Amino acid sequence: VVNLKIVRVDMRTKEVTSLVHENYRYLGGRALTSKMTLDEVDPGCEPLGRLNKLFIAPGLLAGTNASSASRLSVGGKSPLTNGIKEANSGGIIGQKLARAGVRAIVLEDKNDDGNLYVLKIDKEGTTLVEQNELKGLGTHDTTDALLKKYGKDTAILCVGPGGERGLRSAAIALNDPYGELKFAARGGLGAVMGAKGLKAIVVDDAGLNELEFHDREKFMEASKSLNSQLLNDPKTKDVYQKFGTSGIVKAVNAMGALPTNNFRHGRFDQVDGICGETLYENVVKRGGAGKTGIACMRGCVIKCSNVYPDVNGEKIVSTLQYENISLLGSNLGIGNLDDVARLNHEVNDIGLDTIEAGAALGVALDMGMGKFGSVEDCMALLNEIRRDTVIGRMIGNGAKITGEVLGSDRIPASKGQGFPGYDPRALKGNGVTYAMSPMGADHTAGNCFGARNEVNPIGTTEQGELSKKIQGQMSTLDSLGFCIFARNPIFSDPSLMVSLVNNLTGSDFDEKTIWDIGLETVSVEREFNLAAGISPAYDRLPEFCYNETLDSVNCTFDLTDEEMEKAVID
Amino acid sequence: MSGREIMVTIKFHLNLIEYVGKQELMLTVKREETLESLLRSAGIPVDLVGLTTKNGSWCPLTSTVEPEDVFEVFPFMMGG
Repeated sequence: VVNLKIVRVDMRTKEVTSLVHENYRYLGGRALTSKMTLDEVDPGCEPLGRLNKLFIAPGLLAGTNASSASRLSVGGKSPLTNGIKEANSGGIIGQKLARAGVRAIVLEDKNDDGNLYVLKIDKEGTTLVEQNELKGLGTHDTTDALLKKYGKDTAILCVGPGGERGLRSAAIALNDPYGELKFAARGGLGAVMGAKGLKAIVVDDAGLNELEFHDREKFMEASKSLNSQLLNDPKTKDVYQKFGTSGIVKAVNAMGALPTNNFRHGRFDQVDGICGETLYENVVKRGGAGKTGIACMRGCVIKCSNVYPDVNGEKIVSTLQYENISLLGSNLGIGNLDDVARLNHEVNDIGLDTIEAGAALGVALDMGMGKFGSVEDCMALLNEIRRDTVIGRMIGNGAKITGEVLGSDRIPASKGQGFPGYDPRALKGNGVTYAMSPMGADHTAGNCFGARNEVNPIGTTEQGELSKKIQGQMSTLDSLGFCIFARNPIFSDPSLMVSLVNNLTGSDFDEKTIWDIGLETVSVEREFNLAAGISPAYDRLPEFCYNETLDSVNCTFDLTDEEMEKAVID
Repeated sequence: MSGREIMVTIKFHLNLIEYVGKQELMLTVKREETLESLLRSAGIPVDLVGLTTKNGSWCPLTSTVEPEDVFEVFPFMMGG
């Protein structure tokens, strides 16, 4: 396997080096970004300062034809949580970096010459290009400009004005095979990239194919089996390709966990206006640019993305997903998908995390800065971010800072990060994950929603073990580059995953060794956080979750410390 | 309807509707029946079932039916 190059870019000196690093031979994605963060970043550093680094790493299986297995991880010290963070996304750059032989890009130090740079990787090598004309451009215009300059098949990773300004909820945008944007969103890592003076990374893999297989034939056999199982799963065609993740809106509402009006309620009386069924109906009825069943990575057979159109068939946003709908919809009291889509597009273009933006807007509305249900008020607040006002900076810095500035005593955040779309009082396993995971309130670190038939979501037992199990599993998937929607065949036949890894890398891992990658990664993350001063005292939810009964389920978050501690991975 | 028989309602969501041909079934069933057995009788592949609720609260597939119960049944899927 030769995709072992670690490309280091010193943003101050503009020096670019590329070295093969055998120590990280079997690490990819989150396992690699987290291990390198622990190995190389001063835990006490200022996240937007010179000492922090940004690590960008495709999953271990990226670049192969295994379906849904080419996600890209970004990691470093988070300006939002002040702890370690990893965020991952689909898009085409993970595949292209792997084929260019790059296991990771490390951005070091920060630029001090006032210029804005693009990092270009192609068959000629890796170079920093000054591109000041991109200053202040939104993620869509930035992507369009770079595709025009470097070619329509290039992979783009960029930040918007949010990242350039160091807003702590800034995301990193990545283009998909159709030029639509996906986001490695959580934790404000876009601000780390922007603070270093890097606007974008462009990868052109034409003429490059450095991915080698230990045993190509056996790899292809396992890959074919995985792809076939995913294709034959009725959920793929009948659920994900039609509704995408928006298909769960009504289910989360039914279980009383749908964040509504800044997590004051768990059910939304206008849920029919923002559910997956309505999304699909609008896409079909309106036609035009509207589409469902879009793959965000080449070769993915699940195809859960969409383009959501307005009444004239013009695109409003791509892709409209559950988290965006819950945080920018019900959480703001907004019951119309077109309104949610417009807010979503604006947040995407500024280059922020939609979850954090929705949580921050919810806090702002709750503190009287607008009315729940008013898309005009929400758009006006987003416009403050666009115009770079002080209010805009407050909201763009996330739910916690917004709540602190406004004097709120009920900020839906854990370890500094806004809650995603599941109220932890109604889905207590997720509450454990929000509180105990080194990632803070991040559902992707251990989403217990899919385990709802195993454990009563509002029960007070079994939640710690459940969260711990899923945290480990998700971490392994993140490290291999898998989308969580590929998990069914992998969980039901883990030998597939073993075969893919061993026949690609030449390792001799068994099932346990691969699952242990996930647990070891979470352990590494916890070690970094402890060194950064994020002690177990921070393994908690905000006070209102313990004191305020959620009406939809008539309970608080009432797990014992002993139950919570079962989720510790050390 | 005999003394041991009761009426229940089951509401289906997303692709599960296709298996029964309608969004809602009103059934006359025996008291000791479980939700799982009702779903199997209705032709729903139980391994496709995710969240199930009974009268607005989460319930397991092993829940037994009571008079006038309203169940909602959602397919198994994850959020993003």
